Amino acid sequence: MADDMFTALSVSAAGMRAQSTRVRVVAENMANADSTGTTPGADPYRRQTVTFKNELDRATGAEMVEVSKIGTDKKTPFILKYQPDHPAADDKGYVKMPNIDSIVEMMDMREAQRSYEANLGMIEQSRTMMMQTINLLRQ
Amino acid sequence: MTTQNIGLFKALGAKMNYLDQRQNILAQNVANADTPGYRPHDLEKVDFGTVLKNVTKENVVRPVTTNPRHMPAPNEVETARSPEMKKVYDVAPTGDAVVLEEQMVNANKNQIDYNLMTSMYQKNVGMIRTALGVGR
Repeated sequence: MADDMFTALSVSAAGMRAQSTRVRVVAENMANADSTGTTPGADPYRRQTVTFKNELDRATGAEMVEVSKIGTDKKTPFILKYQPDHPAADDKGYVKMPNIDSIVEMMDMREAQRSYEANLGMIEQSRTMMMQTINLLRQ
Repeated sequence: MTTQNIGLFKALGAKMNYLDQRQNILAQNVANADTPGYRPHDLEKVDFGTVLKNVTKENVVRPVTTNPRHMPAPNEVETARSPEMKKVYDVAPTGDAVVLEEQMVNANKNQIDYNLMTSMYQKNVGMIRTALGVGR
């Protein structure tokens, strides 16, 4: 009977793992917000994105979540910055900066944080329910 | 005679089992809250009144199911299926329709129900103890 509850715990744990990967990717993006190329006109660091997919866990029949792909954002254009003395500056004096918008990254991080908290809340609830069952033995 | 054979305990156990399963489904929904295209699931409501009526009616002859294709005995508790939820609060542009608030409300309801069940279980055990004279 408590099998479902243990499954619920591992599902929530999978959710937390996926969300922490997302936070890690945001951290990588933020850390590389100023990583430019070294040769004139070279491409700088590209923003990374995370996609999730749900994965059926055959042992328990539960729909877990996992990171399906860490991709690169090729759609958002690079930000150009006028800095003629930079080694990566092109002939007009512009340096390509990574396509990272710190506000977008912060939003993503907050969302990941909230989802992580929600999963944690579910673990806490399942745990309480399990403890209630165990307490039935204690009378 | 174990508590399993007492109708009321059996009914309580059935409901707890249902709530266990539902907690699992809700955990799946929350875990997949950011999965594109994921539709939340929920257990269909079991008519607890009928279950209780079936289960407390103890003086019936029960056929044994030795094959999964046998028809279930009338007082057996069927396992609830988990269909996709038709009505959800809203659907994100990526197609995932899990709203964390909705799931949290459901999970809280689930926990309250579970709490109720375990309390009732305890009360009944207490009553049996009193009847036996072991008292508390």
